[in-house]
Amino acid sequence: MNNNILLKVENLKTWFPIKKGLLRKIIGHVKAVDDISFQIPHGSTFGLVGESGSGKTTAARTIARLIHATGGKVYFNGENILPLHQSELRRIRKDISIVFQDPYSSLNPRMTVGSIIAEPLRIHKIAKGSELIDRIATLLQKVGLSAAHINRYPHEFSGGQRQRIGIARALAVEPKLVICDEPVSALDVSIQSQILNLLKDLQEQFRLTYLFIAHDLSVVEFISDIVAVMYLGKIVEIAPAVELYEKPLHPYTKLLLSAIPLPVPERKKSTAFVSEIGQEAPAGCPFSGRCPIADGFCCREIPPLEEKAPGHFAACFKT
Amino acid sequence: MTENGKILSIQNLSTFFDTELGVAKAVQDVSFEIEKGKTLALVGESGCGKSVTALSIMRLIPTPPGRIESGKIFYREHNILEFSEKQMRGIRGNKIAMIFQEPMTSLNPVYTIGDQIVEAITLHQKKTYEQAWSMAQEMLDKVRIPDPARRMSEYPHLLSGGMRQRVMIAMAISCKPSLLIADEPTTALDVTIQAQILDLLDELQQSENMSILLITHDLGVVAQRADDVAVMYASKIAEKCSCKELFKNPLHPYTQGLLHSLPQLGTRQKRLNTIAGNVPEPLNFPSGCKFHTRCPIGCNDKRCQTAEPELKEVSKDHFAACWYAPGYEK
Repeated sequence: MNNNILLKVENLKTWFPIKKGLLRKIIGHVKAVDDISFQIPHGSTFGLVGESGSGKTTAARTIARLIHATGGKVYFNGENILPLHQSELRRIRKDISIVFQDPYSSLNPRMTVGSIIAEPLRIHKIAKGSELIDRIATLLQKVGLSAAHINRYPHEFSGGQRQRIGIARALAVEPKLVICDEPVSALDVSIQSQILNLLKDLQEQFRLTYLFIAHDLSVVEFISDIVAVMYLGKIVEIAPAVELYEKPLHPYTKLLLSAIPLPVPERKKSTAFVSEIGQEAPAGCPFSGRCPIADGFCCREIPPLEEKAPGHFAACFKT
Repeated sequence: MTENGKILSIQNLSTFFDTELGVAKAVQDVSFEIEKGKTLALVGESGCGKSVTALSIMRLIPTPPGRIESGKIFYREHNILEFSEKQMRGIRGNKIAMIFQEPMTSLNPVYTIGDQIVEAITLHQKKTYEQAWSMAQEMLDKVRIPDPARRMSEYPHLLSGGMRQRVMIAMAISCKPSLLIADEPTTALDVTIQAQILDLLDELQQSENMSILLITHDLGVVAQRADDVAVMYASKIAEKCSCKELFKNPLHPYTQGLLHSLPQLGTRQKRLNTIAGNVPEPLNFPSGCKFHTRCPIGCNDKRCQTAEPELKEVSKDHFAACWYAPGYEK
């Protein structure tokens, strides 16, 4: 395996059973993540984009081993972490940390900022005593807060500041991979840009690797090196960020890009897609129900993710 | 007072809330007008008072703790702040309708879609249940809900977020209001659905010649849909002008900061511009100009720190509240 790859996901599947009746018989599955593969090189940012229900958060949580995978392999530093036993997981948890979407519900309101950040350090026995305090103070400064905040409680902070605390907690264990699950979508515009810059600075400083999940394409473009677009549990396109935005190949990516309201005062009629994301994937291409160029073949066969240009993959028969 | 074309005219509106920690001045001295068939966007970050302004217009401020301290709100030529609750019921939902941000929580889960729209119709119009039912069905068709006859007898949980927002819009326009207040109508929705809902509002506005007060924090949505814009910061209007002018020639440092801090698609920026600091809270507004703590000009300026600039016309139809805006008379 290539040494430069930190995370490699192969054919990952996460299915949730649908149960019915008195005996809770399994009558089918919701295929939240259905056979996705990608890899993230050391020190880069991999953006995962998609609408609600596309499976991006489920994918991330499966990779962090918070949800049980149905199938596939997740190699972290060359080691498949999916079969690891619960007792072996603590080792991995030190290397993979998460920044959550909602800074209001992801910090325990009864703990001080100091104890929130200290918790992972204590659990992983990284520091204690005065060294612990020093580390917390340094972390707070790194994320743009002051060491004087150590004894305050989360409710004393604004949304942006809370997200900074969440980032400090994620970085406390010196992780290699940070999963950022919509870290800025709950924040105000003027605060969003502060947090995005901070994430970029910290990445340079600590050579972090990010798996960055968002639904906002302009945010993802700013932060990512490679972007994957998910639709109904499948990856429909992967490409370097610049290429994806300049030459999108999959009709779904084109639809997403055209739907963003640009801050330019010029009325454009957006594309006339009437239908919405479905609950159940069709038999063929998952996008065939909404696609403007789909034909009968698309509705029957599932298009494979193919390399259409160097480094640019798309799952569409028509491109 | 109001000329023919103006549907809504707000003059020096102030809305305060009494809290245990003191008086929270959520909206102070806000004035704006909306003309017939036009869209005014009220932009601002959380806590700046944009939703409280909307609720004040609907007279839906919970009293106590809230109260409309001063000001006038003219709907056509009537000051609705002087209306009795009974008179107000004839306006609310009938002449002025509102759609809310959260389509998930603003529909009643124990009534069918049809019942909820029928309720809105029979409340304001003399219709039998059957007449109202068929009107409601027409409304669902109008907001392009497929198979409206079936949807009428379904419950909200069977609909997706975008569909629920369509139902909300159907309900809001069922009495043909002349003003629609849309409070963050697409914030909870995906981009593709957002585009559909905005298109729908656009069409309805044209076919019904309806005015829209669009409340949002998304400058992209503003650019695409608004005729005029008022930017709110910390309970006051910081800048007010036409939409084109705002994006071409923003004068208030806050507006400039907001526009510059957006990640721009297709430019591969290395870093984003930011506005330093945090959004102030209503109980803890800074002295002087409320933006001075975050402002690149105002942070070291004595006057900005002590004296608050009023909103003044700096060029034709362009208002700004900044001592340093070009054309601002001191």
